[in-house]
Amino acid sequence: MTLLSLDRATKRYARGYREVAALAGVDLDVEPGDFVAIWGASRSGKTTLLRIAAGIETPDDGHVTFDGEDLAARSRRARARLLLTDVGCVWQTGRITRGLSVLDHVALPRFRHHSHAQARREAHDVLERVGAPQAANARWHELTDGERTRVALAHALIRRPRLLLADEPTANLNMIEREQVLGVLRSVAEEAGVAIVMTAPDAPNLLQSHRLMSLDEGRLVKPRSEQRGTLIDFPRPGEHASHRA
Amino acid sequence: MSVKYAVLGLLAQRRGYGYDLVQRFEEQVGPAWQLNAGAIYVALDKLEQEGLVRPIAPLDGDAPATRRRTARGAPRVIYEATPQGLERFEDWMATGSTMAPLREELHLKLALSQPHNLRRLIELTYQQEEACLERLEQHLGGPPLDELAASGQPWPAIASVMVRDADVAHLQATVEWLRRIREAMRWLQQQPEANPLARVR
Repeated sequence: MTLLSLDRATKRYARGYREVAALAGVDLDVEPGDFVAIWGASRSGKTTLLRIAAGIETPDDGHVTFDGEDLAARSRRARARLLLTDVGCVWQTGRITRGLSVLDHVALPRFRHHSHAQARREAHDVLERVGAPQAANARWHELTDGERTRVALAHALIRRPRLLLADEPTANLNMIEREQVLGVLRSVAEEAGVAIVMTAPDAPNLLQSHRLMSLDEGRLVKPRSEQRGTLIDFPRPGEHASHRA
Repeated sequence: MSVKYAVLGLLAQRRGYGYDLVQRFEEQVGPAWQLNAGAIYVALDKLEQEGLVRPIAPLDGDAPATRRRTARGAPRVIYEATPQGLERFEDWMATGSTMAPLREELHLKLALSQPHNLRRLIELTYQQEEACLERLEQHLGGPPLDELAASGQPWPAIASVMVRDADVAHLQATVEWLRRIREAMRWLQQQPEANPLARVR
């Protein structure tokens, strides 16, 4: 069953007196175990797409469905709860909780329902899994970019989300670190059945995924294998202003 | 005439017959050259005329007895590189390489478009981008270069991934170019008085 579904999702924002579409009628279905990579330049709408998929923002038009339920029908509170249970996020602006060690930061989501020892054990396991066990006792400022990404990934994975959204998780990594992180994502999808939507700045970053597509000015461009049924003529960015006027 | 040198290079690695060379070319270089058996035989003839390769008697272990004849029953000719051939191959390896000119049908359409084509041209850039994504899809799941290099793989495996990477790099550049020209065409579309297409004639 489709876990996440975007149906003609559209998001506009104001730039000066003009309205610009950050997302223009995006259709996307993601199944459990799918690893989807979305290639876009900065300002292509990548982050907006992830924020809408996470329920942090709601689309101006179209629908986002998670596990068969329209997110717009959920209260703000219920959408926020989703982020604590089923949806894990890795943002580019990742930080750790002030004053905590890396281990405790990763373990934090488990502290509430588990003993601290149990939560820390799990945090160790998940740090091991993402290839950063050595980061456990470090402070944030001591970590390399590659380790920070892994810690953010571990923090997201420890909740055992069904959907993982990752905004350029390979930014600032060298080629070896990049392939390691992509390999972790791929195995999380294949072994744990987590659905992953990742954004990426360039083509080499797409190649470990299962499905690839490209986002430009809010329009999702897909290879033929992704196109089902008839092609829809998407509204073009810039044409929305007249619709709304 | 790089096919000639590619065949010479394959024979410099080890002796072989026509069909074997076709398969080794495909394995090591990839499908992009769309080389058929005919082209290999033409190259072999030329190389033989120039004394760079020569037919030899099959040795034990060259091919199983069942493959010493072609499907039509003719004896398979096995070739090896001559010393002059090896020398010529080394010369070719050491000289600079030619670059094919960039020729795409879309470039012609861009060059020859009329004002009324602009809207459609923008759509065509999306189709071209889809085509690029389809080609990228073919590279999904392939081994990354650094992993291969670190795992001590034989050179041909590493080289074929390097060639694949060239395709990935080209596709990336093409998609980025498509995004740029699309943005420029959109901008022109929004201000008809500045549309240079309108001034073509």
